[in-house]
Amino acid sequence: MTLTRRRFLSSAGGAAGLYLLSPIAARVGRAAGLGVDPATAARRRLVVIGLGGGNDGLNTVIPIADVAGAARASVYRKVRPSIAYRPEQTLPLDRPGDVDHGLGLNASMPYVHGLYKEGRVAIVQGVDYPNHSYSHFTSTDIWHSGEPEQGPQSGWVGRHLDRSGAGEGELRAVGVGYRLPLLLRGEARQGMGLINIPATRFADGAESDEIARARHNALTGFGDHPSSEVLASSVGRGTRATVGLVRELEGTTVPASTGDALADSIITARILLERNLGVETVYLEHPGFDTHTTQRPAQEALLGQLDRALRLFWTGRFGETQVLPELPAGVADRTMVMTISEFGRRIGEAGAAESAGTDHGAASPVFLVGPAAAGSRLVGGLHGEHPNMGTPTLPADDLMMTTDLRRLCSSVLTNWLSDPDPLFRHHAPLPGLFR
Amino acid sequence: MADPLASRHDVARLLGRAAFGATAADLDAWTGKPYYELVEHLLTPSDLGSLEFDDATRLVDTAAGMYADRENGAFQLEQAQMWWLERMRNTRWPLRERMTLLWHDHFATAVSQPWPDVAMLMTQNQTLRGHAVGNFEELMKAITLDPAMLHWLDGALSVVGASNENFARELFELFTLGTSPQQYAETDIREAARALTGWVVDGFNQPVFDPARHDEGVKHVLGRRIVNRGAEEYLDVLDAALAMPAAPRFVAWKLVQKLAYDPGPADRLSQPDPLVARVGDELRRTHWDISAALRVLLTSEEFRLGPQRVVRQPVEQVVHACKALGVSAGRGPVLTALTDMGQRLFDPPNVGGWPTATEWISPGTSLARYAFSFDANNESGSAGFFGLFATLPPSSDLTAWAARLGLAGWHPNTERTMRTFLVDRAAADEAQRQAGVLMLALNSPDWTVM
Repeated sequence: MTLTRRRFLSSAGGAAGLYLLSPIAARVGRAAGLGVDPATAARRRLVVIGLGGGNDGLNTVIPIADVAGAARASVYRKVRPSIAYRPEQTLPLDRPGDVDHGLGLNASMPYVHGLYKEGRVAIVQGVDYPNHSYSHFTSTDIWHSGEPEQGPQSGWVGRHLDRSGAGEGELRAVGVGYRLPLLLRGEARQGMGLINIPATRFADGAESDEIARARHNALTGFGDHPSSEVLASSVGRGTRATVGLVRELEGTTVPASTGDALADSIITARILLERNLGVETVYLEHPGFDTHTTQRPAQEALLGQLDRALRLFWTGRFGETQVLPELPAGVADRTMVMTISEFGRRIGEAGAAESAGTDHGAASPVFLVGPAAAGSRLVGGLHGEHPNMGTPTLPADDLMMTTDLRRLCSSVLTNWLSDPDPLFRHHAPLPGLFR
Repeated sequence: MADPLASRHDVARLLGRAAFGATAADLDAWTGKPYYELVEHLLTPSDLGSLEFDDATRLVDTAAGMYADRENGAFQLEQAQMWWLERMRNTRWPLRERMTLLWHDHFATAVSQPWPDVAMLMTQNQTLRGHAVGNFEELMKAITLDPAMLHWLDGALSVVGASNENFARELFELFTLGTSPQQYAETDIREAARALTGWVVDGFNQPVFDPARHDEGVKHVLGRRIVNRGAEEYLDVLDAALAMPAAPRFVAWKLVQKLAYDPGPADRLSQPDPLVARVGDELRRTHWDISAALRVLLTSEEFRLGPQRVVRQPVEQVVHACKALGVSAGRGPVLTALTDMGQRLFDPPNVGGWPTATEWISPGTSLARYAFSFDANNESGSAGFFGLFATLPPSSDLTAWAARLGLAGWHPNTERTMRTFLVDRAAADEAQRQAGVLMLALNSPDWTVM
């Protein structure tokens, strides 16, 4: 039996409930930006970007040459007659020290390629979990929970919130979007979801502050709804927490929209991380990777968006525009970005040549992008084995796991957030990913 | 069981969940009448003339003509959204409209692919409406060949030798069987995808079977051997899925989840929620009669008296507000509010449909609901308050406010919250106090959770 999204949600609406702890509300009235405790300020930061829909790993990290014992490029070109990239269409992943020179990066990612050459990007290959699910919803839940078998109905970052940092509030983990992702839901604590910063305010029209304040204060009264009525009480406490969140973010200025959804989310993430609010983890969703048809242009556009968003995150530049200053050293030195995707796609293409795409598959690569500082713990380069692709005469159908997702989660928690999850005690951190 | 008489609370809850909410007139008309009579009235309204069907058809036909031009897709989409919202508000058969929304959520198809063929989505909308309270098996047949669906889940691009699994997978996972527990293997999906090849959409937005694209080989789907039947073969796939014991319980689970309460950790086959089991049995017994299943659901004690409740979707909240206040739901500010709340019609976030239950509880939706409760997005750009100052109850008459909004009354904590506000704003002018009470009402747990 697998953990389903529905199963998780029924639990979230259960006794634990949303907004069980609402320290933000308790902090209402405190001057914004007064500061968080030094332990929080010193913690490392994690930005997770969900490539929703299942990113095709083979056209992201692309086989460009056969290597000893693995005719990867031959198989790749044979089973993808319409959508394969030729070697010269890729950006070679050939850092000095890389053992494997048979792979190239999708050419839509020049910024990431530059960082890769600098040693700031780790690509973990073949990440998956046992008894892989091909369902978007089930598999997304597993990537967020880190638990392929029936287990805790919480995310691996949410459980980190449970274990550390009592009393610091939901703002420690923020999900940008309409839904709070499972990743940020703990057993006892929840992250906070917000759509964007400009929208996180009360639309009170032209009326006076005094009238508006009176109404916002009144709304907090719903937070006292008796907890025996679970859903109504969740709504009431959610409303009260919203009032607190708006007050925390009051006066924050934000650059104009770039017109690019992911870039706008990145701007939100940067402002949250740079303001002294105690934000430690931000989750962003970048949907659209379910490329069953006309994959090449669609995926190139999406990977290009990702590349531009990552450039915006560190440099503040978007296209020709300096939208924000460069990421301040205090944040840049301790922030890592990680991409996750519910699955990769199958080796062979589907559909007629002019509209070919790929169906849901299994293992796929994960990107980790670390700080520029010399002291960065992340070890750049390729990690883990490339999954077996069979032979040109007998191609594999799907890419099987070479790196267990749980070991990757274990690495990030243990070596980056310095907070191992007991749930992963049998899944040792990946050797060599962090120094 | 004797037919109970409907309390004011019964009427408010039943209409609140299944009919875009009650009005003051509904509460007065049905309180004290037999509860089952109200359910029957919702399922088959006795006074529904031919007028409504004619109106609906005419409007859609007109719209479809307009929408042939793809240049103005965004504008057309807004027109279609406003048309449907207003229809939800003023239809004489609200249950059917509510079920049309439920099936739109279940067979979640978004306008983005192909962008922006609004005519195709309007056709799907009429198909969903036509079967909304009809027969689920017929609905499945219609949706499988629906042009918008053939595009959305790539059936139209699936071809022998390179079949596309997108529709086949969701057919099992999201439309008929679910994954709790998983009833099918990956090979079933691949084989079903092969059986479904051959359907394309022609230049007139009609489904057409092209034998040259169809895989004529033998397939094995869910233990059934399927031989080549060309254009009829999809029926064998649907039959194989719907014959599974899990299918009626899965569909029943969806009905209970959307209309009554979240049935919980649904091991939907072996340990179903008791109401899910009964609704599923009725679907099985009646060969997929949706009306019969709804009758079991809406008359059940769990639905009428149970402690478990449902979080209303933004569309339901907004349409109910417009209905109770007597203002149009087909307006730009309403669309803005729904966009901000995360529920644009014809644009669900993915094939899994819109959020459920506590997923709707977030700062984003709270703040958008707040803006809506002042009509803050109206054309004048200021708190517009629906232009209703004169016709609303006095701020202090909270009983009259509940009636005006189609509620049986207020929870003590809600009433206390409103009274505290009124004391705090005792010196303010009456219109401001009314605006405050309306805002609190439309943001209260009483309004959101039904």
